[in-house]
Amino acid sequence: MDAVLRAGAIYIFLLLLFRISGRRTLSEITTFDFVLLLIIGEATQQGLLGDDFSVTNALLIVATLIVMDIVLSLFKEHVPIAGKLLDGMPMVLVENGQPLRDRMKKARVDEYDIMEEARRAQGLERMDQIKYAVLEVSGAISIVPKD
Amino acid sequence: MLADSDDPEKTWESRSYPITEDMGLQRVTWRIERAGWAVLAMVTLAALLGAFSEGPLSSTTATGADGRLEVHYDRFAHHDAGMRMEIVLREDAARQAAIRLSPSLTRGFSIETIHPAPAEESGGPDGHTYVFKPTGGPLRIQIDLRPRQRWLLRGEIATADGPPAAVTMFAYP
Repeated sequence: MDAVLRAGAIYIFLLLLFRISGRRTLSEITTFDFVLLLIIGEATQQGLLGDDFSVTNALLIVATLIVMDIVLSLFKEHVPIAGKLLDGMPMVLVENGQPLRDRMKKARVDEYDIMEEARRAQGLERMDQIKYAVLEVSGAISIVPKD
Repeated sequence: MLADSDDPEKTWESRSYPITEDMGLQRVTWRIERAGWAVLAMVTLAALLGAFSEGPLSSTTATGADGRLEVHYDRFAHHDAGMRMEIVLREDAARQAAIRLSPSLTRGFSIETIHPAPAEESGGPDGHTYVFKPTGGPLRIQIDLRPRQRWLLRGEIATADGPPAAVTMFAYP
């Protein structure tokens, strides 16, 4: 029982924590973010295992985490608003060459981020060459160039 | 169609092309996100102050009614994590220096080490009793223990014949 409760509590805690940290913070991974993720994994490991290092305990924890993941995906499928809240929604940041600055500020994205993606993915040089820039659920920025 | 980025009405309107937006819900999630940051900041601050053990909010002292016994301990503990309790016993030389831990304490904690080591140790229906060699002055006893139960833990520590000091602890899971 203990293993299931531990894994369930850690799963829910990490889900909420990563949700409120925002999609821009951990989805575009820098080297430092990667190190931070390793440390987070290390810190939760002890809480997950407790002082029980048996194979059974490890199997129970892995099974619980995967069951939680399946249940969550089924839940999001049946309750679309939960999916939108937990995964976030895509959002237009640039429309017909006009940056929507208030939205960018709220989403913690600046014009440099958008122009970087425009150069990298589409070879564009100026904001007015962008038809749409969309902040995707994954945290990536999609650029649609003007014809 | 040119969007005016300075027009707040237009900025927060939900677009349906190239993607379908729900700006109302988007702004709700931002509000939740900001509230979450505040909660995280408060948790960190509370942890610095000792709300999760080891800090000014956590350390406390329990005293027996006659003042001969003092127990210094952390009000907030963690399940299965080592912690230390210090007991100060002011006994005169004629009296036997002994402490008794109530059964609720010995059930809720595993006692790892006691310094100085007791000369005698016995268990009975009213708990474990430890007898120490008399020192002629106040005796300081350090007990390293580990909470084995979660949530609220209550117990009593008493001298051989004096009134007990009540100890209340909260063990986070």
